[in-house]
Amino acid sequence: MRLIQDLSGIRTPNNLESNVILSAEHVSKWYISFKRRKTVALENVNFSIFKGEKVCIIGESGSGKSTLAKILCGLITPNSGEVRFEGKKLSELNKSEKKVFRMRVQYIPQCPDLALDPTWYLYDSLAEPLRIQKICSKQDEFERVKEVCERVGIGMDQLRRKPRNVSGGELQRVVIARAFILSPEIIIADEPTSMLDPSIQAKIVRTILDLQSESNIGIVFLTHDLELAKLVSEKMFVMLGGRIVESGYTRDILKTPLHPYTKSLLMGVPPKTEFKQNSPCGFYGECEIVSEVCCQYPPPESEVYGGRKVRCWRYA
Amino acid sequence: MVGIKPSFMETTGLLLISLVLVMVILSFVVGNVIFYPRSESPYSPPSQSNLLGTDDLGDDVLTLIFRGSRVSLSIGIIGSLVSTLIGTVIGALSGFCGGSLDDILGWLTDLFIVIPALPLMIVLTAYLSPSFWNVVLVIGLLWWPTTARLVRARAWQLRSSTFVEGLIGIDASKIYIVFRHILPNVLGVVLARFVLSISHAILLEAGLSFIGLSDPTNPSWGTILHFAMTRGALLQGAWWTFVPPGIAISMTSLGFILLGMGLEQRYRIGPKSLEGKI
Repeated sequence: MRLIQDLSGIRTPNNLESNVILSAEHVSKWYISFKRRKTVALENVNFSIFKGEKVCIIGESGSGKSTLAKILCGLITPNSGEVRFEGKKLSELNKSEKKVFRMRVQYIPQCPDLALDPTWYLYDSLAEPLRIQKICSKQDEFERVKEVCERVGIGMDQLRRKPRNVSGGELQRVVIARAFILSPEIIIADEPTSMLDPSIQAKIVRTILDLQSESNIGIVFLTHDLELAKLVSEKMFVMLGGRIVESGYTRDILKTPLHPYTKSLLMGVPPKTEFKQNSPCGFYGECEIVSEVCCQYPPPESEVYGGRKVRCWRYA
Repeated sequence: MVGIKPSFMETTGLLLISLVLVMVILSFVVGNVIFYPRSESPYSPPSQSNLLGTDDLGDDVLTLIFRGSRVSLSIGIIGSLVSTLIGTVIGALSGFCGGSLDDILGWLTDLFIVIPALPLMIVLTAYLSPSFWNVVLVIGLLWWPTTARLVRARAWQLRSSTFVEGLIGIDASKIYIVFRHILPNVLGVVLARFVLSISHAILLEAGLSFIGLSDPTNPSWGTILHFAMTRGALLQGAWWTFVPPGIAISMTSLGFILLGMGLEQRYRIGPKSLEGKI
């Protein structure tokens, strides 16, 4: 029912401003590499997620998805722009507020093999967030670990092992359990299934979605897989070369893609040339409709209708 | 994946080290009972009563060597323990924390690498008066830079790994990460380094005592060599006073080097499967 309401446009940014939990405003991140060459990872990105919302960020590798995810969980500081958590700037949080932020926003990394300390037993790795945040006693800790293990579907006896002794799928479940153990409000999952084989992928996605609906938390999926995006998200952000080129409700975007890049993505046609760092649009090399302005100035972000934003000169 | 079966190098190393350990234990257990501590004549050649002859004072050389094993081994182990501890902590902090702390500690490490260690050790030991603990201290304080470099490299690698990023994501402090996660992960490398530096410490100690910078009341193998050199054993042709301690020193340090190299191969950073294929 909620989904239908969303799609009918009842949920507009204006009347729900207070429900935004995590947002990024004009965030840019660049790296100065060898010989002072500037590599732009993110450029003027605006992003927001509401309470209990399922959002998907889609884009090819190198488009800045992971950078955005890490900036959102405060693992990387942006060069310019601000990340806000419940309206407060992340850079201005004091120690206790930061602790709350770290508890509420959790990150599921891409590769489960590297996500846990190889010298620690899984039980300790799983209980570690509770110990660091000092929120429960030893007995409660065991109960909580047990409960979260049941929810993600791992047996307690698996936890007596070390990461190298369990399979990738089980490890990913442990990593997911670790993210959920602090009962967060937002989970940022950075391609949680990309390292797993297809049969397990579906189960893992199911697990995450079940957990999401049980506790009504916001979830950000990062993926390059359109099918997955279709399955998991209500809202979608399409990224290209460090910019969000199109955003809106998933169903709208899939039905009527506006940006030429999204179109080519949906048609399953891989772009002919690689993204050019210095080109103003990033896509004009293979766009069918190129005007003069495309080669000169970067396109502005423009709202086409109710929450649907596109970064293309055609809609400016 | 670390195999359980010891390699040839490790087996040989362990064998040599256990020989020395037997010497140490024997020197405590039977000590002066079995061996004749002092015979009448100085520089008497090996005989039935003195298996390795006697030195200039008529002391039994075998007894001296057995007693010397205690000193050499304990200085080697304690000295390298101190140096490994210093090196590990400095390396881990420097590699993990990065930034200006890394710069400062890196500069300090470079400084200690650049300073020629042996001359400085000689000067320091002479200045501090050559006692057991001073020798340990000097070895410990001057022999850490290589360990620090090694640990720093590994910590630097771990710092950008996903699981450390995840730890920052759940608000773990830097000190917590270094001591609970980085150090356990570098333990293998540190162990190999520790065993290797025992052999260095034993050699250094022998070198220092050979030139007379050791406690003469508590003679180590190097001290025996020192007395053989200064009191005319060479001129007398009393080979039994300087050959056995020399062999003892080289075999012990060889034992630790072999074990250390074996361990280093075990915990080597990098693709093991490619070994021998390139």
